[in-house]
Amino acid sequence: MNPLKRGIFVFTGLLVLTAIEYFLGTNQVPQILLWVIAIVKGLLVLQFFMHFNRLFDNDEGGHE
Amino acid sequence: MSSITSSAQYQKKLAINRLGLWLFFASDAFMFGGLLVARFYLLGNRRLELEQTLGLIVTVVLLVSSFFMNRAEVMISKGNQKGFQRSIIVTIVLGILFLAGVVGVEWQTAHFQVNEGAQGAVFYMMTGMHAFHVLTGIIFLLIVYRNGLKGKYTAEKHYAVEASANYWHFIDLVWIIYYPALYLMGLI
Repeated sequence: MNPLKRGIFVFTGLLVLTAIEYFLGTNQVPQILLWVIAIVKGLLVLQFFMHFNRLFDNDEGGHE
Repeated sequence: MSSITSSAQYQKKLAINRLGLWLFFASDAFMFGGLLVARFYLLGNRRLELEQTLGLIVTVVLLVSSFFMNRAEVMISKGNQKGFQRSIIVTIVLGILFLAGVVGVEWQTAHFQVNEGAQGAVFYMMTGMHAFHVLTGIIFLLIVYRNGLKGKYTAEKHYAVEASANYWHFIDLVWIIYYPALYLMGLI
């Protein structure tokens, strides 16, 4: 996928999850749901914005 | 032959630099993690009385800044210098807006001071340490922007851009955990 499009998808996903998180948080839901959403958001950032896999990718340098 | 050797040396240096940066993230994560544990140990299931709308706004501002930082990295990897410069400037401006929202507004309007018990200590320490990282991130981005204006980065070689982007996303990652922990979890 085009990296720019991927960035837009990930960003949209983060925004939607934040909106859900805000709604749930202001309606006193069990804390575990908020933890799950925060971890999913964190994994999205780690994988698609921070490119964690590049750490193990030494052949091409990972520069796109 | 020499260009192959040079490329191999660059790749090796790149791998070492990346490992070093991630080791730094790991050590920094322990510090942020310690503050997070302190929040739940000292406040338990109690939620701080904070301005919810402002918390949501600064969170969205930081997420948008992360999007533009990612865009800056993609742009330089395609050799688009103008796009890279524009995106990095937008990221810097959004970073400053985030700082203004947290330090300039939230700190001034919070219903407690830093010396008012555990809630003051937890809130100001967590947001203060995070804000300090945002500030250093902005300085890092300004340096990268300045070097970008001098044409120091190419589509093939731009590790400083990658490092600054990763640092910025790390700051975002910390806030992704801190935001619900401070604003949404627990009972008032």
